[in-house]
Amino acid sequence: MIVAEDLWVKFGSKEVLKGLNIEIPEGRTTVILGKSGIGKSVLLKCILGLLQPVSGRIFIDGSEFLSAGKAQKKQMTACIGMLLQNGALFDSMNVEENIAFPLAYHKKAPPAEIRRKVLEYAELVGIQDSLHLMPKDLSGGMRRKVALARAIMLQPRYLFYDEPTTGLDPTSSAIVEILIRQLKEQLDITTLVVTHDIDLVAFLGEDVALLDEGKILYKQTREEAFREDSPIYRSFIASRKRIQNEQGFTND
Amino acid sequence: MINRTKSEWALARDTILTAYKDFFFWLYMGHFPAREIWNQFRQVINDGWLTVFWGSVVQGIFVMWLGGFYGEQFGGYRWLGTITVFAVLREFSVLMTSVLFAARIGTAFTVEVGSMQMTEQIAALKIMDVEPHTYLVIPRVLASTLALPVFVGFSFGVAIISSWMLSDIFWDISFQQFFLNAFNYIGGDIVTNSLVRSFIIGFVLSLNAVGLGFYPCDGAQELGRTTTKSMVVNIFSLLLIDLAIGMASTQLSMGAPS
Repeated sequence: MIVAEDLWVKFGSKEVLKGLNIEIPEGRTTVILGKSGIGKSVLLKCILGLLQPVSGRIFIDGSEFLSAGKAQKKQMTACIGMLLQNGALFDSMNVEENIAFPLAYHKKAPPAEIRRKVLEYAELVGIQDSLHLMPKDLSGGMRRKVALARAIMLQPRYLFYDEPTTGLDPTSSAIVEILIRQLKEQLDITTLVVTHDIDLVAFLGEDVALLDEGKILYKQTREEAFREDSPIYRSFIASRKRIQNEQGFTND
Repeated sequence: MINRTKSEWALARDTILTAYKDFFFWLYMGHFPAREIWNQFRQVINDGWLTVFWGSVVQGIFVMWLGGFYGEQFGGYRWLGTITVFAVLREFSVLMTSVLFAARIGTAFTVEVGSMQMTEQIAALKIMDVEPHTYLVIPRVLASTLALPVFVGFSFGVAIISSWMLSDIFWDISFQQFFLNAFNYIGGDIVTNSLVRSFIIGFVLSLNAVGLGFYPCDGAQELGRTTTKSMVVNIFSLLLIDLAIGMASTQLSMGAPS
């Protein structure tokens, strides 16, 4: 389980997270829903140690992360993988080299074993015919699939997704959504997704949390969140309709 | 999101200082990436040799032309070979090759690392427990430290040969005449001095350039400005190193004509 307690993050004078609290229970898919620029990615990066919060505590499997030493931190985050926005593939490597990179760099397996794993995971995400391509030759959806295969190469127990469907067409989005769910079920990975995509929340979220004003305002199960009287529904899901109505644009 | 509490140049200075600190820390702590250094060395040589070649051809012609022109005015142009070889070995090759190196290789390092930062590739490395300094900085800097003396040696040869070949055409100096006195007055310590300088310059210029790649850019325009900063910082660093070592070595009579 991952727990963040009273997390504060500032950039200059701008406070992004203001005493955020959240629990990411093991074995479940938690979706953090929030507007763009509200600090969703910042939260993920704090948990991974890529950003240093001003104050607060983060527990990974019961151990305090922020006060740990460098080596300890590395050990603690070794069980976490992440799919960054747009995949963050290495431009100078082809698809196969990208996927193989974490294992090859850390020399965690002999080359033949790495090759076997690359093929296995490439097949799992459906890119086995594109291993020779360079990232510039890939569509947005393909890039996410490659990044996903690379993220699971080190067999993480937790997998974070930062806006996994942003910028994708509906078909590619649906494929990525299904992949996330399949990976969770097949590899038994605890999943944390941050997004502003309602469809993704509806399809993936077992637990749904609403991030706004630098805090998790509400956390509910998916069933609760999608009830019309739920605070998450009212403050985020229904807000689009409300704004359209307020501006006089109604869709019958 | 980027914290903008400092001025642009103060942030650039801090970024470079951090790069120096991290370089030595991770060189001490991290594993020695020998294969990556070799790959980078080949890449740098491959990227830079043609630029250095043409730069050295022009440099050789330029020094030969000025030497011949003023030599003729003062009646001493039979020393053209000596003047040209001395100028090339003592100063021109190191200076010009380093400028070309900063422009061709240094700026490429800044843009490469900067765009990796902007597209979160560096974040991806960290998530995969790969230390960016061990993987990106150390190989590029050590490869460049070795590559610049190679380029300077190459430039010696190309510049001297190009000036030698054209001195016959422009100043009617035979090939034999050109070399007659050329190496009589020039000792090996001049070459050693230049190669030692280029070794130090290669290290500083590449570390400045890669280090500035970590400057917190939030867009293409800022990356462009950072690349310009890389070039400006490197030209000043080059001049300062050249001045310091030049003064020190002449005080010690190393690299002075015998």
